[in-house]
Amino acid sequence: MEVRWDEVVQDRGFWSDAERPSLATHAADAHSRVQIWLFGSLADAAERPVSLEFRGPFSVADVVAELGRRCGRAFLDQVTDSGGSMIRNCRVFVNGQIVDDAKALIRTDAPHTEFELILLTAAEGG
Amino acid sequence: MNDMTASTNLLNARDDAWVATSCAICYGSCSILAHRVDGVVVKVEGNPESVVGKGRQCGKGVAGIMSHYDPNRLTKPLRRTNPKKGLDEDPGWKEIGWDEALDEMATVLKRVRAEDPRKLLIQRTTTVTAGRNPLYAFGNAFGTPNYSTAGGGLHCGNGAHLISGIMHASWSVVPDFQYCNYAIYFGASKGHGAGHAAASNMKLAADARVRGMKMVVVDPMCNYASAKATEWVPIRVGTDGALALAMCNVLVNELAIYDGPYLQAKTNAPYLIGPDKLYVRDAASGAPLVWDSATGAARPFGEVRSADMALEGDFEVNGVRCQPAFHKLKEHLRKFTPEWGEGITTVPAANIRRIAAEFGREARIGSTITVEGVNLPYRPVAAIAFRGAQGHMNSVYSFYAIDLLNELVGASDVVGGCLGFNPACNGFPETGRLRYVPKPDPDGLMITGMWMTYHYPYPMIEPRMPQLMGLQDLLTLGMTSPFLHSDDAEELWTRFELPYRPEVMINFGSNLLMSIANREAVAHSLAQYKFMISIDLFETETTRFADIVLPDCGYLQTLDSRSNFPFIFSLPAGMGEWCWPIRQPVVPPEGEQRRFQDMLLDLADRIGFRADLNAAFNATMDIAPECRLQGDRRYTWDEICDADLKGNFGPQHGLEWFKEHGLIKWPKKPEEVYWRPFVDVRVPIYWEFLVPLADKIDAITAPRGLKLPREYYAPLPDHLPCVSHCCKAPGFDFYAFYYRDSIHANSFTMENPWLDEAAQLDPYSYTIAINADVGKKKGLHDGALITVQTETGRKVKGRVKLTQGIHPEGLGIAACAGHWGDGMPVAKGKGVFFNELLELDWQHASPINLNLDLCARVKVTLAQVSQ
Repeated sequence: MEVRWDEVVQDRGFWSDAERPSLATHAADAHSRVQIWLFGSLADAAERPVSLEFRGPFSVADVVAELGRRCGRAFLDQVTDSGGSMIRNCRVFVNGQIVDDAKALIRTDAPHTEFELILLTAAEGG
Repeated sequence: MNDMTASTNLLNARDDAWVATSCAICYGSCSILAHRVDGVVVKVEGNPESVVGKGRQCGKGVAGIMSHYDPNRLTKPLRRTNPKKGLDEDPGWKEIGWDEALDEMATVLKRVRAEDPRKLLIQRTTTVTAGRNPLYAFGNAFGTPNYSTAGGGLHCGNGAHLISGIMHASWSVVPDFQYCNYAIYFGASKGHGAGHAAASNMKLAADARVRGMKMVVVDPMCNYASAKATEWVPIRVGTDGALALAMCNVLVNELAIYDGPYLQAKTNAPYLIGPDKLYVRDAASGAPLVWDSATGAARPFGEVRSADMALEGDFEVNGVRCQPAFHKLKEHLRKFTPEWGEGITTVPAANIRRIAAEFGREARIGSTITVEGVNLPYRPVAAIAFRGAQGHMNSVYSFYAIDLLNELVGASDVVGGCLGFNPACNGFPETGRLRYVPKPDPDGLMITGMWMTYHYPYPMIEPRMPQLMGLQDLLTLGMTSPFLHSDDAEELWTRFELPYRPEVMINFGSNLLMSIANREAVAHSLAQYKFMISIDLFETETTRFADIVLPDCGYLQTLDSRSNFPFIFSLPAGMGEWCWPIRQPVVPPEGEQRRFQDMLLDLADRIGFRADLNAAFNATMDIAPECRLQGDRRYTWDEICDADLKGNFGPQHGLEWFKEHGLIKWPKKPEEVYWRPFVDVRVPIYWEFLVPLADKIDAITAPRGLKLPREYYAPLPDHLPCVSHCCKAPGFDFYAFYYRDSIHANSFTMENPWLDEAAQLDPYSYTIAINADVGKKKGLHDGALITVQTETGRKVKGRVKLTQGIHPEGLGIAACAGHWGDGMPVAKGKGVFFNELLELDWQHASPINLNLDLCARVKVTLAQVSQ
C-alpha cells in the first residue's frame, strides 16, 4: 500500500541544534576591547593586532565593517561580496571559536576579545 | 658472551611488529596493517578493525610494498643546472643538501610573497588525500588562492562532485548496497576496485550482488563494473545524459511513476515558475511561492503543508501565469522520447522503456522499512554516475539528468536508494566534535554541511572579475580548472584582466604533464614558470621541469592525523560505523628523504610566516579551541597532529593513543545515514538559480568579447553534444575514450613491478580496445600496430585488442599509461598515453563547470612497424 512517508516517519528532534553555550550577553552600554589578528593574504591590510573598541553588543559584521573603514576598500573586497556579506571562505574565530553567522552578536564577558580572520582555499576538486 | 647467549639476545631483540596505518596508493586510503620484521616491511594486509577497507585490500594496496622499496625512489634533493625547460631538455640534476634547497626556495618565495602571493600556484596529487591540509595551510598562510589537483581533479569530478553536492550534500554517490535491489551505473566503478572507499565498496557491492541486487551498467566498454553486472548497456560515448532524460520521460509521462510526497516535501518541484523561468516570489518575504491546494491560493513554501502543495497545474498569481517546477519538468521531458534517445545513444528504445520501467517498479514508491527501530522510507533503487558519464562538456546536464531518476522516485538518501557519502554526522559522542548536517538556504534549498573546500556547490559564489588563475570565481560552478595550463590561458587572463601572472609552482606529487591533456600544451605552461619546486617519490615527466626536486617520504614512512577525513570522501556510506584512522610511520626515511609536512614547516620558518601558518592550521583543520596552535610557536608536525586528534577526540586520545590503536570508531545511527526525512532541506529538480547566474557571468564576459553559451545555463537539463559528436570529417568513425584500469591509480603505479606484471597479463591494460566486428571489417587483428589520430592531427600509437565488449563506435584505452621518462623505468614505454589526444582550451571545456571534454573523435590506420 502506498503511504506518505512523511506521515509515517517520526522526527524525534534528532538534528535539532543544541544551544551554543554562551558566557554572558553584553549589557547595552558595555565597553568591549577587541584585538584583531589578520592572517595570510589579509595580513598586509594592517599591522597586527588591530585594536578596536565597541560600545554595546556587536557582531562579526560590525567588526569587519570597522576594519573596512580603517583598512580600505581593498580589504572589504577580499572578505565580502558585493552585497556586503562575508564570503564563505573567510573564516572568523572569536576567542578560538569559529563563528559562522557574521550577524550574530558576540557573547562574551572576557575583558578582551580576540578575533582572527583568515582566507581559506575556495576552489579545488579531486 | 658465548654463542648461545648472542643468539638468544638477537632473537629477543628481533623487531617483529604489525603497525596499524593507512594505504596511500590511491585516494581510497584504506586502513592497513604493515608487518615489519627487522626494520623491513615484509607484508601489508587490510586492517579488519577498520571500516575503511573493511579488512580488504585491492591489488594496488597489496603491491604497494614494491612502490615503497623501488630502487628508483628519490633519496636526495636535486637542483636543475640546465636553465632551459622543455620536453626534450635534460635538467642536468645536481645533488644538493636540504639547507641549500630550502634557502633557495625561501629566497624566491619571500620575494614573491612580498610582491603578490597569488603568483604562487600549489598543485597536488589527489592520490594522497591527507596532503590537502598541510598544503592548504601553507598556501592560506602564504596568501595564495591558487590551488589545483592537476588531472586527478580536472578529469575526475567537476560534474560528479558538484551535483553530488547539490543533490546529496556529498562528494560522491553510491547505491545503499545493504538494501538496494536495483542499481544503474552510468560510467562508474564504485564497488569494483576503484574510486572512493574502493575496498570497502568492493565488499559491499559483492555482498549486494550475492544478496540479489541487480546491477545495470551503462558504459561504452564491458570491463570492471559491467563485466560483473546483471546487464551491460553499451552506449555511444558521452551520451549518458540523453539516456537518463529518455528514462525520466518514460517514468513521468508514459508510466506516471513518481514519488509525489517526496517531490512535494524534499524538492523544489512545487515552487511556482513564471514566464521568465524564475520563481514567483512572495512580495513581502521574497520566499518562493507554491500553490496551496487546501486554500486555493499561492503562499510562501514555508507556510504550506507539503501534502497540499500542487505539483501540476496552470495558475495565475498577481497577474502572472505560472506553473509548478514539476509541471515544467514534466512538459520539458516529453521531447526526450525513447526513440529520440535511441538516435542519440544507440540504446534501443525498447530497452530504454524496459529499464526505466524496471527502475520505477523496483523503487516501491510508498513503502517504508524499519532500521534499528527507526521507521524510514524504503526505495531500493539507485542511479549513480561518476567519471565516465560526466567527463564531457555536457557534464552538468548528464549528471543532473541521471540523478533526476533518483529524485523522481524519492530514492535519495533513504533506505536502499542513492546515498551520498556520509553527508550528516552527529559527531563523536564523547566530545560532540565533527558534527555537521545540511541546512537550508532562504529558498529552502540544501547547503551541504561538509565540503572539501569553501567553494561550496550551492549556493554559488557571486561571479566577479577573476582573481583566480583558473577563473573559477567567474565561472563559479567550476572546481578544478583547465585554464591553469591551457593553450589559451594567457589570452583568457588578458581578456579578463587577471592582475598578476603565475611565477612559482609548488608541485606535490602530481604528474600533470601526463594527467591533464596533450603534453605539448602542459609542457608549454610549465616552462613559463620562473621557479618550480617538485616534491616527489619518483622523478616523473613533470619533475623534469622543476628547479628544485625534494625527495618525499612514502606512505609507510609518514604521519597523518586524518588520513580519511572528511567522511564525505572515502568512508563507506550506509549503516555501520564512523571511523577515523591515522597514517603512521612503519619504517624510517631512506637517504635524505623527508616528510613534506616537515619541509613546509621549515620553509615557512625560513620565509618568516609561522604565526600565519599556525593560524592557517587552526582554521583549515578547525582545531578545537583548547588545542589551538598559539602565536608563532614552532610546532612539529607530530605536535600539530596531536593537537588535531586531542581536539576532536579528547585529551586521552592524542597521537600516542592513536599510534597504539590505529583508529577510533563509533556506531552510526539511522538518522545520520538516512538523514533526508529528518532534515528540512529541499533539492532542486529545477535549477532556477542558473538563470540569474548566467546573467551575472554574461555581464562580465560579453563586454570582453566572450559570449556565454546560454544553453548550458537553462534551468532544466538537455542533451548537449560534445565537440567530438560534431566531427563530420570522413574516416573519423571512432569515439576514443579512456577508462580507469582498476589495478592502476593515477600514473605512479605504472612503475610498480607487480602491477606491471599484472597489467601485462591483462590483454587490455596496455592495448587499444576496438570492437571485434568493426575491427575485422577494417582489416585489424589482435596485436596490429595502429595510429589513432584526431581531427586536429594529434596521434598516439598502440597495439590493437579486438573484443566484443566494447561499443562498435568506441575505442578504449586504459588511463595513465604511456610514460616516456627515464625516472620510472618499469613504467616507461608501457601502454598508450591517451591524454595526448585531448585538446586543452576554452572550446573543449564546459562553459558552466569547466569540465574538460575527455573524448575525441578519431580515425584509425595501420602503422608502419618501423615508424
